Amino acid sequence: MNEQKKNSLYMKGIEKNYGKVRALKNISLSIESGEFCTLLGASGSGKSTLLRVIAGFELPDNGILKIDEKDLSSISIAQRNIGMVFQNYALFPHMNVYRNIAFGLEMKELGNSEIKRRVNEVLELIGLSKEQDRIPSTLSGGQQQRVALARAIVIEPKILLMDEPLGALDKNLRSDMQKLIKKLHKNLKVTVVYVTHDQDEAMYLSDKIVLMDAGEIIQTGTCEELYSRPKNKYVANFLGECNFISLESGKKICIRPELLRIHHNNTNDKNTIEVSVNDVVFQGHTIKLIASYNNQEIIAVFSPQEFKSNINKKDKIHLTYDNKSLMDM
Amino acid sequence: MPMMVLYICLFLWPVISFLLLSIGGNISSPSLEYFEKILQTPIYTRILYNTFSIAAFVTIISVIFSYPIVYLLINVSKRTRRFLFILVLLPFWTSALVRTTAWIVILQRNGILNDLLLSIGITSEPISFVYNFSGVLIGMTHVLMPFVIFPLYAAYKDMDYSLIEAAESLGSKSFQITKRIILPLTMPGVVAGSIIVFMSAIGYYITPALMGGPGQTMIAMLIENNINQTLNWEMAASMSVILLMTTLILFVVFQKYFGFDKLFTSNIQKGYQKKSARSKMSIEKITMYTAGITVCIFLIAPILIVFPMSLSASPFLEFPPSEYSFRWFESFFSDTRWIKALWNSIIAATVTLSVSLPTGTLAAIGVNKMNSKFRLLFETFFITPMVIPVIIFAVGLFYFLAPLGLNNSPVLLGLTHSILALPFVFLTVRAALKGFDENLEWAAYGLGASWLTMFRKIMLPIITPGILAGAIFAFIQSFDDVVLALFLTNVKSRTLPRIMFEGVSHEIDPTIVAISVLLITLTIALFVINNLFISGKKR
Repeated sequence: MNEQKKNSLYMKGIEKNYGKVRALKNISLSIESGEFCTLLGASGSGKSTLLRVIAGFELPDNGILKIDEKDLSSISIAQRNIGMVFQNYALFPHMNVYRNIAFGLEMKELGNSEIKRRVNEVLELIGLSKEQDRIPSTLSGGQQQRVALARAIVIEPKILLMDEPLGALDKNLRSDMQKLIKKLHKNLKVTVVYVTHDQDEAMYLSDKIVLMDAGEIIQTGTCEELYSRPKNKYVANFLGECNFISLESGKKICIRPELLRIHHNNTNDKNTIEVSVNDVVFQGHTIKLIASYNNQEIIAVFSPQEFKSNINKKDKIHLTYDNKSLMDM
Repeated sequence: MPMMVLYICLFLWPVISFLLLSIGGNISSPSLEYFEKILQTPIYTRILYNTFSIAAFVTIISVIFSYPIVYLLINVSKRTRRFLFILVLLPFWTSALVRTTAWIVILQRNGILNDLLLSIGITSEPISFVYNFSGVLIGMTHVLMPFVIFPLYAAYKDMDYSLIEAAESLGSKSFQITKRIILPLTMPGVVAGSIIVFMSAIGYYITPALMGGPGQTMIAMLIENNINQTLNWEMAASMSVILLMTTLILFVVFQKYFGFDKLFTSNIQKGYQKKSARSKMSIEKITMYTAGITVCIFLIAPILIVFPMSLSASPFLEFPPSEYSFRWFESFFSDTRWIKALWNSIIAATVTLSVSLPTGTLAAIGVNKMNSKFRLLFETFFITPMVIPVIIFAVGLFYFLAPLGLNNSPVLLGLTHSILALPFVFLTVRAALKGFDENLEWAAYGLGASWLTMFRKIMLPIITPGILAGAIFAFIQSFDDVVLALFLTNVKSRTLPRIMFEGVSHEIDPTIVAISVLLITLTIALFVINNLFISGKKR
């Protein structure tokens, strides 16, 4: 087996139905070794179901699932060697931190000294060495999730699965955890499949994003590809805001708010639209302009430096755009 | 699915084959002659009427008495509430036979209550409280009332207190608040409790047999009489069918609207958060408090009174005893008849525990995994032994086992007790499993555990409190059973409760009071162990 194929994941034609509900429709996807791949989508998009299929908690009705070119259909969950991190942590409540982390190693029947060495190593990594004797319920949410992460990586899984691991944490803690996860991924070079509905989180962490809706993959690509070259309106809207404008010429264009610029010579140039300002919203690091053009709402975003403070409600201004920034769909 | 096998062999099969006798024992040519005979015989219709009216009275009294005690539970401080709960739970956990014995001791012609009334001169002649209608009512209400208290308390506690405040701010008087808000909102709890009480009351055997007179004969006693005295199997079967049908209809109604499993999941110890502290003592409040405390005394008195009595040195029952001694305890432990019975009871209870715990736990795990459509079906099936009158089950088993000569071993008795115990184990484990996060199971598999390892290391430690609670219920079911023992044991294999029952129905020997004390102590011990275990787990 060459290095390229190690810990890679391959899916073709995966289907899963619950009665009449088609939870997964013809999912085909390959994830390279060491890649951080995020399944992104709204709730009910099938992203968690797909993760559970990879983990082996659900059996697909159809399709092929392979790790390192080995078919998984006949391999039990226990033998897949997949690490899983749950949203609700799922720490064993009657075991302390150390015993939780050691559980997977004990299942592999490793020697005590080996177990001790490896558990201490990950405890160090997640910064909870001092808490190793505590019971999960006495830890904070962030600490619990770090233990859950440690428990999953200590077994050196072929693939690490994470199901909205930061969903239950508050915002500040979430960004700390995102940093930790990014650092761990970089150091351990483990293949990760991550589920979230938060596009910022997805963009921060991922090498590859798989956008899902209604049980289907809508688009797969790097963050840059999905943001700049969305396949359709749904993708464009899911990752950031987007203006869809029908011009007077009848032409339809699609452009991100931050790519609209204020046109200072108040004339109707080729790539210029005249809009009336409805509101100016100060957002801290940006200023958001909400305007209307032929009864269509237009949103533009500026940095405070480039925004002229003499623009007020009901003013008429001209916005311009570069043909290169238009997205074609 | 060992639970299924056990149920079919020892429960469904005997009961159904016995019930078939009611239509002449032949499915192909059913006859209704026995049912017609019941309706035409005045004594039978009289007993049917008795049964339903006694059950109705018991239900109504239980509901009326439950309100003040629940009111008290809601309004007192947390510590007092814990104490009051013990007062309610202790009699609930104590053997019905022991409680009935205690009541007879209190209420009989030369009993404590009459002594008291005579000495303060309220009456000049002893009043008959027992072996008549009032005796049956007192005894049965005492046994069954907790079944109303618990759901009523749950309903009261869940009630949004701001509703009452809102009503007050709209100018309602306390009477109107009670009528328009508290009564309607607690109604579901009351109805749930009432159905259980009524359902249990119509099939009751021990209390009416011991505390009633000839005028209070109930269906269960008639069935027993038809089997043991007049040997009229077909008649007994027909009566059983009537009893069973009524019970099953009530059970279906109950299961549809409330669900038995909720009885065990609602956490009755949870504190009630009252938002406004009202210190004003109104007349209504004082009345309710007094009534509540009276009901508490009613519940706990029989349990407490037997303690000093058991220590009396006198050969007659005496309260308060003029001299104390342990002679009645000694008489228990030195009599081989009692010791042999105790031994039989222990064997039966051991068999019950070792059969019902693993089977019930497995069944609960299995049902937990099912999809919701089948789940309700299986759940309902598994708890039926809890609602089917024991007398029917006992007679069915007797009919089935006696011809095989299997009816006289404590081991087999234990096996049949496990049918009674299984629903309790099933329900308590099921309640524990509801608190078990399914992801823990997946997490364990993901880390390389097999099902067995997962069960041993993860699931079992987490659901142990549920299994333990089930074990206590199972033990009590077996150790307290009179009815099955009456039919399935003989002089050699009879159990402690059976001898006690026979003793109580003739004359209460002080030894029986001593045994009652031992049984209550055992209950308290189990109670304490369970509580210690639960609080130990929490820490």
